Order: sequence, then structure tokens, then C-alpha cells
Amino acid sequence: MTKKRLTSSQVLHKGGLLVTVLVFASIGILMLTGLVAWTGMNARVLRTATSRELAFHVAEAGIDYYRWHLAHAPTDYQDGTGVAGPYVHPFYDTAGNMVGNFSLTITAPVAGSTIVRVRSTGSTIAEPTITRKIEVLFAIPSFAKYAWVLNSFVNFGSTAYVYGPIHSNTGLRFDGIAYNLVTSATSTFDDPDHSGGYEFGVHTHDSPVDPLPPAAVPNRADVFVAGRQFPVPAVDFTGIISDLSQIKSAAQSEGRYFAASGGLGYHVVLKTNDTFDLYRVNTMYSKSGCSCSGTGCGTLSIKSGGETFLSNYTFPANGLIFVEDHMWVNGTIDGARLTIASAKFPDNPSTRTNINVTNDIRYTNYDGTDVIGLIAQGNFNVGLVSEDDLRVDAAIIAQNGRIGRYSYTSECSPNHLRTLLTTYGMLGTNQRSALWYGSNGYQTRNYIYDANLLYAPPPSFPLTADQYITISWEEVE
Amino acid sequence: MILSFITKKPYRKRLLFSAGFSLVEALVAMGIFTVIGIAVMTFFSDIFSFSKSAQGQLQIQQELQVLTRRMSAELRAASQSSVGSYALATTSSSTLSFYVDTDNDGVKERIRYFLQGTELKKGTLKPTGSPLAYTGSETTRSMVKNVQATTTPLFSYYDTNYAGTTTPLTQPVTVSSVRLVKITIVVDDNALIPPPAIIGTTQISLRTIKDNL
Repeated sequence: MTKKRLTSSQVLHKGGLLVTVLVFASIGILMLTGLVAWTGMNARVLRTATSRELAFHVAEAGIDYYRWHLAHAPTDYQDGTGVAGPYVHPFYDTAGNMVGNFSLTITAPVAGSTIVRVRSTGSTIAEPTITRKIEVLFAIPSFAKYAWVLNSFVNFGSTAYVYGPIHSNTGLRFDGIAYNLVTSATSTFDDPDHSGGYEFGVHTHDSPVDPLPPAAVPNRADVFVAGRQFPVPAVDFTGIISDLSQIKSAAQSEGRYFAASGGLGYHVVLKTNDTFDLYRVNTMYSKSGCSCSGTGCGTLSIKSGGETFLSNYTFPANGLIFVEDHMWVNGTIDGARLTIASAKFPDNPSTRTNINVTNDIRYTNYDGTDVIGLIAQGNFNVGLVSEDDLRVDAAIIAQNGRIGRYSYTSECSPNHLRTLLTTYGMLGTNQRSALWYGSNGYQTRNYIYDANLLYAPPPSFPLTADQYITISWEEVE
Repeated sequence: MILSFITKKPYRKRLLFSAGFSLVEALVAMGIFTVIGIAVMTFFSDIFSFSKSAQGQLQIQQELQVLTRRMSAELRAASQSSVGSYALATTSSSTLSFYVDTDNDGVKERIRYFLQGTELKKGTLKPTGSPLAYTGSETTRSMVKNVQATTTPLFSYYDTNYAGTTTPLTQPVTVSSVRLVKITIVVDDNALIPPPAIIGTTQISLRTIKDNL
């Protein structure tokens, strides 16, 4: 066999193809590796995104689960186990496969509050390191959620700008601007402020005046920014008496309780050092020639020197001060949370007690740290000899009476006519509120709603429902 | 030796005839080059225009993703304002405003998404003063550009009876009846030429108002 001789050119190019193959193969491998890595990364990103989404839904299932649990066991903050958390539950898909877990951390409400903090951490079986956390505050709504809550008819004029929710168990006329829900327990009623037929439970005379029922209820976003609802369930003012009774026993056991003073009532002066001075009221200013109208009318103002100092007390840990007598309150708090109540038991219309105010009640902090609840079995009165620029920072409830001031004649000058009353908190009144009578009373009244009351009402403040609602929902990192 | 070869007569004559291209050849060559040139230029220009269009599309998609993710997170957590107003403030077809604490400082900002021309913007207003008040001017930023008007409103609203196929509430919507907000954004940087518009859509249930658990 003869060997074929290579030409000189073939000798020179021997192996030349190998270089080309190597170069192109490397390029090919590089590109392929890149493509595979890219595809892999995409798949991983997709898997992570899916797991993140699933973990979120698992976490939310945890929140929904505990809301259900609280609906059936309103005071169980330990998930039925009786031991401290966190409480881990498996989460199954519709085919019965376990796809994830949620872990619940539950913070029970502090004494006198119903706010439960639930944090749910959701994770998946596929990617247990990916978690999503949701934190929710559940609370049973209290009277403090309303800016105004009334058992009677109320008429808000065209200059009223109310930010919190408003509710009336009777009818409600509103001609200003309401930035939250306006509700009434009645669907129709006869507005006592003018003649004519029955009107909607919540109606406005701001032009164009509402039609009469049974016409369709117009959408008046210019007046009712968030809308109006009627009829809704009534708010139970009568039930507050049992809350007052509970406040009394809690004040007797761990708070500050004072039986009948033997005088006209007690005077509580709140201080910023978390104490209060207690006085017994002996004498009030006499009307001396001037007069007022209405049951129980008087100056309701402590005469200078007309009281006896009893003692200085520290604020109780449960924040409850209860007197079984009439009461005057003023002063400033700093970092305290108090509910001050006045009632006489057994409840009798002739012996119901009032809370009177003639001087400022003030907070130092307006971020929800400071709160005062004033609950009167009878009236919440602003006395005759009151500050010209009166400020009341408190959530006020007049269980059977009204938040108001008696109508004083001009003989009571100059005290009959006052300039400015500012309240910061909420107002709950059984009877129609009255602070201005056209020629006497407070000329300007500013009612500021304390939005922190929704998240932190005064201790043991009366509740308006028995079911928890979600007051805050947030996803936390 | 080579020189002597080409100086031989018969070869010289042939070389003279072949010394250049004929006009026809040149024209054909130029024609071919022109065709190839145009093809290459078109190819390049297409590459650039496709790349630009793909980039534009990707940017639109990204803007929409960021918007829907952010809006979902904010709307889910919407709640009563720091002065006590209802969680939702405006529920029109092209403006949606609500209250939420976006910066975790305990104070709720008023967030307003609104259409200005063809641009979807977000306005943020922090309450100030004591007592707090939502006064002053909000800070605005652009979220999505080139939003196209379609028959589907930007924001549509559903009440507690929403079961998946229910029709949205008719405007004007009563704010307190809203339980779910649907966002539909149609974006196209040039409606006259392809690619077609990109539609971003999501539905958000308001967790603190939800009552149809």
C-alpha cells in the first residue's frame, strides 16, 4: 500500500480546523452556559415569586383564622392552648396537601382595653425561608370610635366640619361636611326643627334639600363625604349603666373609689405628676338675681374657698376613678390614661349624678399617649362661672342627660355669654346637646375628634358591640 | 520571467481588453451593493427600533408592576385617617385617594392617585399641626406615562356583593359601599404603530373595611 504524500500546503494547515472548532465550541459553550444560567435564574425568580405570594396568602389565612377564633372565644388570646405562643398551624390546599404553615404571635389586650394584636407569619413547605408577615389589630368597638354619638335628634349646622363617625339613635340633620360615616338607627323621622313630613333618618337641608321618603336617597358627596347609612343598629345608652357598675367595682378593688362626699360633691384636680388632688365641695356660687331654666339648673360653679382639701392620690394602675356623687374636674395630665366616672347606685332618675366643668381639662401629649374618659350618669355640665376660652380634652359621655350648659339670663352677665369652647376627644350624649342659645352660652364651639381614640380608648370605656373588628392591617417586613 | 511572459503579444491584447469593468458590470455591482446596503441598513435600523420598542415595552411593564405592587400594598392597609376621616376619600373613575401610613411613623398620609393628561401621578400629603390637619400642598410624582383612555375606567369599585363577575358600582360611587377596587391601566407610548398597548390590571380588597369574610 502506497502512502499518500501530503502537499506542502496541506502540511502547513494540518490541525487548522481544530482551532476553529475549539474557538466556536468555546463560544457555543459560553452562550449555552449563559442561556442555561439565565433560564435557571428565571425559574428561581418565578419560584420565589410564587412562594412569596403563597406565603402571603398563608399568613392572611392565619389572620382570618384568629378572627374566627376570637368570634367564638372572645377572651382567649392563647389559641385555645393555655400556653404561651407562637402558635403554628399547617395550611392545606384544596387537594388536602400541606403547602405551608402560619405562625401566630398574639398580644393580649391590656387591662381595660379590647385591642388584640395578632401577627401572622406565613411560609411555604417548598421554600420555608421565604416568609411574609401581617400584623393586625382587632378590637371590640367602643363609644370612643364615634366623634358624636347621640340617643336623640341632632342638627349640625352648615359650619360643622366633623371628621369622625357620627351616629344618632333618632334622626340626624347634617348641613356641614362629614368626613366619615353618618348613621342613624331610624329610617325615617319627623325633624322637630321644622314642620313638614317625615324625612330620611340622616338628611340634609343643604341645597338641594333632600327629597322626602320614599324617594331614592341622593348621593350627597359634598355633605356626606363617606356616605350615610340608615337604619343601622342602635347604640345602647341604657347598657352603659352596667359598664358604670363594673367601673365602680374595678375602682373599688384596684382603682380609686369615693363614696358620697357628704357635701355637694367632689372636685378632682388632675396633675401632670400622675396624681390628683381631691376636694369636697361645700358651696357653689349663688345665682344672685340671675336665673336659668331647666331641671337642676344652677351656677354649677364652685365658690372661691367653697371647698375642703381632702387628700392627694396617685393615679391608679387600672386608670379608674369613680365617685358616687356629683363631680367637678379640671387640670392637666401627662402620660396618663384615665376614666373618671360619676354615678349613684342603684340607678334612680332623681339621684343621678353629674360631671361639671368650669376650667380647662388638658392633655400634654396629643399622640394618643394621654387620654381621659368622663362618664356621667346624668349630665355633663359646663358651669356658669366658666373660662371664657374653655378647653376640654376628654371623651365625654352623658349617659342619661346631655352634654350642655343651662340657658342663663343676661342678669348673669358677664358669665352668661362666653367666647370659645374647644373639645378634643369624642362626645356621647343621651339628650340633645345644648351649649349655645342664640344670646347666651358659648358663641364658638370647636369639637375636635381625637382619632387616637379608635386605637386606644380610655380604660374600660363602654363598648358598642360584642364582635371584634379589624382596626388596623399592615404587612410588616 | 513573468514579465517576459506577459509582454508576449497575444497575452497583452487580452489583458488590454480585460483591464477594467464594463459600465454594465459596474452598474450591476452597484445595484447589488445598493440592495445589500439597503437591506443591511434596514436590518440595523430595525434592530435599533425593535430594541427601542422592546425597551419601551419592558419599561412600561416595569412601571406597571411597580405601580400595581405599591398600590396593592397601600390600599390593603388603608384605614381611618389621623383626624378620623373615613379610610377612602375619593372614589371617582380617574382619581382614588385614601389614608395609609406608608412611612411607618404612626401618622397616616393621604395618598392620591390621579390622571393628569395621560400621566398617572401619585400625590402624598402628610398631616401637620396640633391638632393634626391635612392642609398644605401634596408632593406629587409621576408613576406611569402614556396612559390611554379606554371604555374601561382607570379605577372601578365593587361593593360587598362582589362575587367575581358582578358589574362595578356606577358613578358617583358612595365611598362607604366600596369593598374592592379594580385598577385597569392601558399604556401605549404610540397608539398609531405596533406593538399594541399593554394593559396592567389588579384587584385589591380593603382589609380594614372588609365585611364579607
